[in-house]
Amino acid sequence: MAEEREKILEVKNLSVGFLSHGKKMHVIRDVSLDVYKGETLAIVGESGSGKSVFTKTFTGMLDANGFIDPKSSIKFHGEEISKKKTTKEWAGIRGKRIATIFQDPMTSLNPLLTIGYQIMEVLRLHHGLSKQEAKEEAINLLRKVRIPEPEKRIKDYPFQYSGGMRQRVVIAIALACRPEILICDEPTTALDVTVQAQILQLIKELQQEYNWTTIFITHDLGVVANIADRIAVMYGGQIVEYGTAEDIFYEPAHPYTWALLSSLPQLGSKDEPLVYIKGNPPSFNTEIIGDAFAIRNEYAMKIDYVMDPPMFQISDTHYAKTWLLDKNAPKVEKPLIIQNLRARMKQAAKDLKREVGDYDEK
Amino acid sequence: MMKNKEEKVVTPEENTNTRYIDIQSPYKPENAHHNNKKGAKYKEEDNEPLSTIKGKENDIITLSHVDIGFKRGTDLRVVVKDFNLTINRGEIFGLVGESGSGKTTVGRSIMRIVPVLDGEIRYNGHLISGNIGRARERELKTKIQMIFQDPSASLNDRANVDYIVSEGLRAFHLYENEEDRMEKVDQMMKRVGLRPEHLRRYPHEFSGGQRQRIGIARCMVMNPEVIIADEPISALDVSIRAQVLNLIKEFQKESNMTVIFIAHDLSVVKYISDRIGVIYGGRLVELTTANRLFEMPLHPYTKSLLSAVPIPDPQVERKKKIISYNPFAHGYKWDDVPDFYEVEPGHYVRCNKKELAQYKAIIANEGKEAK
Repeated sequence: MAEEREKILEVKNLSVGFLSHGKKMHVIRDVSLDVYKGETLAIVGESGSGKSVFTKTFTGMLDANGFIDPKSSIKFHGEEISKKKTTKEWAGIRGKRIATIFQDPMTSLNPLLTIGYQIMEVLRLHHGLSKQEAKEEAINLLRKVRIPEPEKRIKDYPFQYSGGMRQRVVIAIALACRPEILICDEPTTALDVTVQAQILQLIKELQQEYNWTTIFITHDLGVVANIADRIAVMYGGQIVEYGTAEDIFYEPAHPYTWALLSSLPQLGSKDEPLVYIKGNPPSFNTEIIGDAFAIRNEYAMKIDYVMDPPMFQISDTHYAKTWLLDKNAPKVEKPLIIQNLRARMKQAAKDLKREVGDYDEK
Repeated sequence: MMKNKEEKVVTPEENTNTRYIDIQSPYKPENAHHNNKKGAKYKEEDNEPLSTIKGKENDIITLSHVDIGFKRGTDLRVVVKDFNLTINRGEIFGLVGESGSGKTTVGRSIMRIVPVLDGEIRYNGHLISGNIGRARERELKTKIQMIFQDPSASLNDRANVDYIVSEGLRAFHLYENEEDRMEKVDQMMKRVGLRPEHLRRYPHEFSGGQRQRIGIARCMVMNPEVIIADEPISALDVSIRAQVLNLIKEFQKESNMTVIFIAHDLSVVKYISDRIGVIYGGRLVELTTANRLFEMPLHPYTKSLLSAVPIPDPQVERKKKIISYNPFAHGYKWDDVPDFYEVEPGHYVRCNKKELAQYKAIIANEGKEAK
């Protein structure tokens, strides 16, 4: 199925490093991933797993001391973009065809300019509209993202908007260019749960309307269940598991995904302490040998400390990078929470009086 | 001073605008005390130590008719209005609401970071709000401690961890000699999962989760009776949230403290708390036990909060319908003003008499169905 769909972005053997104090640190280590047209891909990982850096390479927004390994390739509609350097080279793509929404809406808007000006700026620059046309279009866009009374609010400054509305404005600016790929870098982390649900809903609806591709970055697996078609789990600068949302949530294969899922408070029960991942994410200062997750992994085998596992294929859509899937590996008991994952999810849904899916019965 | 509720009923002649019916203007003669705080005498003479229990055994903190507001020039905006709440000894109380609902303000007012305009807050029956004198204020700070939201902003960048954790001990001289202090600090560091050699480091050398654990150590070393945790996990990664939640719960069980846990996410609060209060627009709208709130949410705002909780199950999430709350949909009129009513034992909802009858019917129906 997946092969038939058009690939919009092909990432092959991407390695990204940073120069710091004369030393090279490799933050993204040999990552390959395809993004298909019209899908929503979620990238999940802890802070420091390299998920933001990974997507920044798509728009050439790495920090000045960052570099992309010459062997790696990123193809956008078949066009190699990883070798682009200057702003001029990026001009046609960054913001116009690949747009980004950042975490904190207060820092991505200019506090000294009106909301209207900031949207019109984009329209006039990329589409060459006149001032009057741009204004009309900006009002339309604000209406699209459900800002009440856009004719009046267009003259307001960012501080007059609430957090959720500011994020809507940022979405409107991204929308102005009709991008083919929208990268959402933790767009809801700074927001309330209710506002978060609304913003997710909005992104989803707009995606259906404009048929763009969304790359959604977050550290919270609970958030992506709603929005993602496919999920990639990142750890220590590598993608350790990817598959469809059903693959990841119902049949997770990597111990790190197990740990992420079992630490969600929604699935915890009151009588037992929550499961958490011991230790810290790996530091990139020293070279990582073997599996980066081995030291925190209770299922680690000797080989994990010596050799980096390859990507094992589980099904057509589901891949995981752990030695546990090797044919010589011993069979392991999954943690208790993962064994009863479906039951716990059903319980959580029942507690909140939601309709329960019928995936199990099929 | 308790307010006389009878006098405050607004008649239709005075106020025809039903939308603003419950906003109290500070400039009305009956509310003049809002502006007249300077030079107020102590409300009551009370020389007993705070640890002696006056009044009810089970109530550790009571807020009665508390108004809290902020002034900007002559403009006074009351953000918490007529707030009544009793927190039981040894419970974890979850306070949930959206940003701007006043949940943090309520927590801060108990800590005396924000002054109250009116009403009173009592700790073990002793008055702790308003003008209580310096000695009493110092005493209070050994009893109530706070964990803040952003661990990177709440720790002093220029002080090492040793200083940060033992600052409270030094301020109140809660140790016998230097050795005793070091031992206390070392033990607390081990307790929160950090090593004693971390004491010489500075906050920027730690990760977010570790910093939050320093914040908890600083708070727990004082051996407080009440902890106010103001969104302690919102700024943390999901995998680290579990550690911090476990730690707070462990401490609570061990020393039987009272915890006021402020959050905007019901799923977290459900896991940790015994009772939950839902706050909207500076007022409690629903208050009951954690299980009951999920079983039988009555107020529409609670329902909308529940509908937003993300469930990690793609099948369920794709069918999700978000309920949005419209505060004007209640259609409250001057002749049927909402109040905080007890619908069933221990379950309070803010509603008017008409809604109260409906809610009671729902609960009666539920009982019949169960049979």
